[in-house]
Amino acid sequence: MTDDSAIEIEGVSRSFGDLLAVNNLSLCIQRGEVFGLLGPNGAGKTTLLKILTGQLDPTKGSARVLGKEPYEDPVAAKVDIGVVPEIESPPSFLTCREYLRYVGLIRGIEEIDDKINYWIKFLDMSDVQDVLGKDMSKGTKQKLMLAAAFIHEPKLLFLDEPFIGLDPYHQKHVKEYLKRYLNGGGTIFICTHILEIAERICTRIAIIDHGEIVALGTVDELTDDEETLDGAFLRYTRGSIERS
Amino acid sequence: MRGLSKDIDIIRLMMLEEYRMQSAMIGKFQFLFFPILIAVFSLVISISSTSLLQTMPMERVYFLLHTIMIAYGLSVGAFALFGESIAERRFGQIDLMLSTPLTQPIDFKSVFLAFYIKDTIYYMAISIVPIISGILLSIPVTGFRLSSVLFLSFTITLTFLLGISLSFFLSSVYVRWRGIFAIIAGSILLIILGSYATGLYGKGDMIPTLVFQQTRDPAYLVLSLFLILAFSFFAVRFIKIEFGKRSQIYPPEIVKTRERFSFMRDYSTFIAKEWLDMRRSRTLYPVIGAYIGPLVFMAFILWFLRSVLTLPIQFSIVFYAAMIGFFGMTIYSWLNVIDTPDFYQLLPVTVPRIIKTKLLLFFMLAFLISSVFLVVLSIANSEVHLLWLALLVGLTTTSYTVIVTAYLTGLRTNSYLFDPKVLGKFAAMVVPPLVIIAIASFRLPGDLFEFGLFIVLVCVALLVAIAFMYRGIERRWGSETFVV
Repeated sequence: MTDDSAIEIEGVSRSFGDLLAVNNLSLCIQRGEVFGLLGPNGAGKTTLLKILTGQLDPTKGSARVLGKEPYEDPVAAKVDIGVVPEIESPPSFLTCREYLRYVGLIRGIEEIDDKINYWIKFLDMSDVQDVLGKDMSKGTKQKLMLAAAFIHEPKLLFLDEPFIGLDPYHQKHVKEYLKRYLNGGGTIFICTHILEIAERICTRIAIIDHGEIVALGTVDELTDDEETLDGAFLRYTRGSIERS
Repeated sequence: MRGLSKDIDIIRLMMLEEYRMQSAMIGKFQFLFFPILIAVFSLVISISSTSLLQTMPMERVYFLLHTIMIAYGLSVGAFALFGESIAERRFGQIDLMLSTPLTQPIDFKSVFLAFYIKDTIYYMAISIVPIISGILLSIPVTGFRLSSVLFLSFTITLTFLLGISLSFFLSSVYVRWRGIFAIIAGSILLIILGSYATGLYGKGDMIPTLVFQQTRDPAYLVLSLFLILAFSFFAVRFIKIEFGKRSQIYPPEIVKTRERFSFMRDYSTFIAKEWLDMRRSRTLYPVIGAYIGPLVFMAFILWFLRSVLTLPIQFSIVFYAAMIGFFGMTIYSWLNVIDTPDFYQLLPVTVPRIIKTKLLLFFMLAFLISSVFLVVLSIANSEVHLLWLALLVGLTTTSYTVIVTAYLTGLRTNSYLFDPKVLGKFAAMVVPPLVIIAIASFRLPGDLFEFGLFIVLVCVALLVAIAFMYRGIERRWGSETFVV
């Protein structure tokens, strides 16, 4: 692993019983990249993200994230990363403000009140800051999960469908933040079905199907002349979609 | 006919939904084991009732049976609402078929009626039918007349229906008019208290199905059926759709609560969160009730064995202390269903840390409750001289049982504990020491020095085991994830 690589994956496989979700996958992602992982439903995107964030062990192979094997020490692995999960699940009985404070206490974040105030204002959560998680709307829950992932200024962000549930205004806001984050030296690993977003923000893209990478490169490298990313995606995954 | 077949299909699907929800919440094994347990319990009680009937008049037995049945019917209606809220937290947003009218062209009252019928059939199948089966199976031993058993089965079923219909009726009134609900519920309570004061309550005149049981007067059958139908009709008539969530504003409390638990050092942050969960979910009192309830029930059973069945067993307060430990696991189990821990998956926190947080909170709650219970009981039984030993036994067995529970089941007590393999291990680890202490306690206070010392030694051995298992939690659950 070089000093420049944020993520290095070597021959990683993960199976659930008879189902092989990720199959002998290898990949290297440099610091400062916005790496997009695309694929049809059930292709293995979330499984790979879970392995890289210490939520799942690989069945075979190895992965290093910021120099650490996440499944070896999941607690240490989560110190420098921020994760936005596919399903937003803040605690049911803490308010928005309290959850961010709780994250601050667990992570030992300094000047936490200023940061909480910043994120509550940035994501327009002032009106709902004292509402319990169980009573929040889907969009508010998603905003809270984003704030909880960003608040400690991580070196690497793992985002699983981060824009789902957000209105266009807040999608734009979050995209602007991600740009600033990248300019500050951050790295992003994003799983999404919104190809327009992937096309616009990703420096490199991998298309995964049946747990294997079927295409890897920049948007220009993946698309033919006049072809959009949608077209390329369908071309690379057609067999899979037709089979299903 | 098509309409009826559609309604039957809806009820069938709702029953399937109820079964899947409950078996997911408490485990398939426990769920399927439940009716068998009820039938066995009913069989044992029926067989032992021959001794009971020598000391208790039949009228009193009927009164007890019907009172239990009406209370059960009432609680089933309440559980329908309570269980749903637990499932929602356990699995995230769940959409029961009850919410279908939000998106499909079907009247809410029709769905509610189907839900009500489903609950009635479902709970009759898993509890009333096993109770009746137990009584029927006892006939070869007890010699009860089949016709009497069938008549009793019919009347207790009616009593259950009376309870559940009243519960649904009150729920509907509560949703629509809180004030009227308070008046009706208050009036019922006043009538019961008034009847109790005047001596009417003991006769059971308040429960028409019971009067029918005793007098066989058809007028009471008609009255019972009328009440069941009227409560059911008005429950469906009054029900109002209320899916919108009412948000409540809470001032920030996490830091203040954390400071209050600062003596817990590294765990104060996590305990603060658990404490707020308990308070805000309004489960603090049910959690305490789930612990005190079995303790009181145990005291009742022991009184029953000693005073009603006149079994020549002398229970000392140390025996109660040993049994207290066993019930401790209910609090730990509750602490694991208040909220889903999924979000910890995103934070630098391990499963053992949260298990230990719940254990520490458990110790705070259980030690306080069990100590108060033992002090009260020692005074009531004039056994204050045994209180020191009872406290040692109570606190040790409570800690031991819950450590075994946490060690074997982690944060998924309800799912794991009823896996036969885990349940077997649990029984093998918990039952022998408790039985040893219980048996030794029968020799107290006579052989206090000899058997008291023996019990102290058993407690020391359990304390060593507690220390080992507490450390072992790290190894056993260290690589576990929070997400189910």
